[in-house]
Amino acid sequence: MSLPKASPPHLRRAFVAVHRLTIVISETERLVADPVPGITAAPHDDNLRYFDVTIQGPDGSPFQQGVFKLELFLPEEYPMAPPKVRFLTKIYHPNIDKLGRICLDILKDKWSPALQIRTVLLSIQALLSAPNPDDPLAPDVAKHYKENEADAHRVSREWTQLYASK
Amino acid sequence: MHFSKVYAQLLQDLPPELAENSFQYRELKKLINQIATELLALGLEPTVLHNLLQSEGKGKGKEKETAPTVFYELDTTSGKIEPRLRLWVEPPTSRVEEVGEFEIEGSSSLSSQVSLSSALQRHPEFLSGLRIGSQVEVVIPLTSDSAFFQLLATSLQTLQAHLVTINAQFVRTLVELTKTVSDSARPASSTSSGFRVLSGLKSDAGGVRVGASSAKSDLNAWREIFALYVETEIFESIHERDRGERSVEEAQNRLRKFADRMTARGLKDGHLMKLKQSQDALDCFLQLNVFILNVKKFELANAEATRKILKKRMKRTALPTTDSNNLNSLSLIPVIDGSLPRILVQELGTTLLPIIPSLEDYQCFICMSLAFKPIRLACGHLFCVRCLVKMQKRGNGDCPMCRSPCVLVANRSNVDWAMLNFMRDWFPEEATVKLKQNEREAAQEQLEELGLPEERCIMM
Ligand SMILES: [Zn+2]
Ligand SMILES: [Zn+2]
Repeated sequence: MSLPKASPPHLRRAFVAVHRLTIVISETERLVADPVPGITAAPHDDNLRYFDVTIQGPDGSPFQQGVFKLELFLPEEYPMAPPKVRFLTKIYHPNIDKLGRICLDILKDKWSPALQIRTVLLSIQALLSAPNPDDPLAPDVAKHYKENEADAHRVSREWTQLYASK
Repeated sequence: MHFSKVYAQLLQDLPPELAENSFQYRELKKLINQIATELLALGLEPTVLHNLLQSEGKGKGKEKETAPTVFYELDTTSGKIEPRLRLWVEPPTSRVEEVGEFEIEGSSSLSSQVSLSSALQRHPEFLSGLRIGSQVEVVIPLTSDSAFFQLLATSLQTLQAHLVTINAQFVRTLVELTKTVSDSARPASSTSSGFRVLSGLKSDAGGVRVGASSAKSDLNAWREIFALYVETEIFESIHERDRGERSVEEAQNRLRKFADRMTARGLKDGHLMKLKQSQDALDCFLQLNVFILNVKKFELANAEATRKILKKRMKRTALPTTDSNNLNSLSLIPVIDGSLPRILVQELGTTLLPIIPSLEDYQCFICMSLAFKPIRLACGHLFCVRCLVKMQKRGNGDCPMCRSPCVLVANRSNVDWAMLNFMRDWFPEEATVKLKQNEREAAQEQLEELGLPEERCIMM
């Protein structure tokens, strides 16, 4: 990997872009070679920074048996900036709002450039096992979860069956 | 196909030094036939013996007094395994009618009872002299069965001793190979006269000249070979999905794949391997792996043969393999647990592979390439200078590994010079590439900061 010193700037920029992409590709390769149980992530053919993700609802949670679709996008500044992740499947969860946005610290202020796609997806899976109504993104759901957890679980299960069944 | 044939076939495919030390399957089979004959002479054909052994512990009630119960015992007090049967019967008499009492529900024919009875008359030494009520105790030594266990134990002991020898041989070859590889994969400082050690005191005037031999090195080829080898995970998987030891077939496929990939990369010819000794060493490396595969096959075959021969004995004679009173009685027979291939793989991994530092151990956890130039943060974590500059520009102050706030205070004094020299020495190509990359990225960022899109630069 080297370019002649006097290469034109647009080539140079392409070179840098390619280098950044190799980080993305090597991470993608790892995800494919050593998949995380219950999680799949496949990059789009035409945009390697854009991933189709599925996460299986963890056993023992109200999301059990559900398969949730998400989209994950790696911004140009990745890994300096966190990936952008969103649920595409509707889900009744105190930390996930109507638009599928996720309230998870490592996707915001607790992001570290040493974290990887794998870590992020594992954390989201963990969030399904352990909702945190004290740090809500969907206030009405959080309220429901706090006041009558059993009933909130019932709704979560219903939604899972309605929107996330295989 | 009979297992003895399959086994013989398998041994034929193995190198002679392994095959010669396999155990005597056919001999053991002959002994099983002898045990069966011996038992038959006592009237203890398999169905009879099976029922007698089964009745043991059962029928606590009325049958207990009349039904002879047989115990199978493995006496090891002499240091050998001496199997025997212990049973209680009405004293043998010449009158056939009385013997009918031995009969157990739905099992034996009268003739076999006669045989047991007459056998006892022929062998008064079987009577131990103990007597409870009307019954006498009979102890029958099983000589052929003893010979069987003796041969099995000796076979397995020889085998185990041989495995120890194999291990020692392997280690000797491995140590030799390691010497050759470290000799042909030398770092830049020992091959180029221009290598200068840099320090932070003076930017480069402090350079020291080191070892000026201008020998060639196959460092890069070997690094690639080892990386490919580790990646192929021939004998063991470290993946979540299928963690653990691989099957013989899978290991064989992967070993072939590894060899093919090296050929495809041109690592086996003079293209990327400059030194003759490297090519020889590579051959040796492949052979060691084939050897591990063979040991794996060999151990598997022997474990299977042991299992089969014990099963055959059980089927032909109805004798169990454990003492009726003591389940651990077979401790005299060594167990081949199939762990040697694993040990050999481990030896390879701890002796040979670490002599060439692997890129993985020296990469920056942010950009995943060589952490060059290396900056050591106050917390002790190491990253490449580019990534830290980017973090500083974005105002990210926390270490990506431990979140301690030491990124913004890092400066020139945080360059890890020893590491920098080490990287230049062992990763000369990667370090050069990274340096150029860093310069290019920095230049581009400067342009962007000036607000000048690059296309316009060309026009100017
Ligand atoms: Zn870096
Ligand atoms: Zn740190």
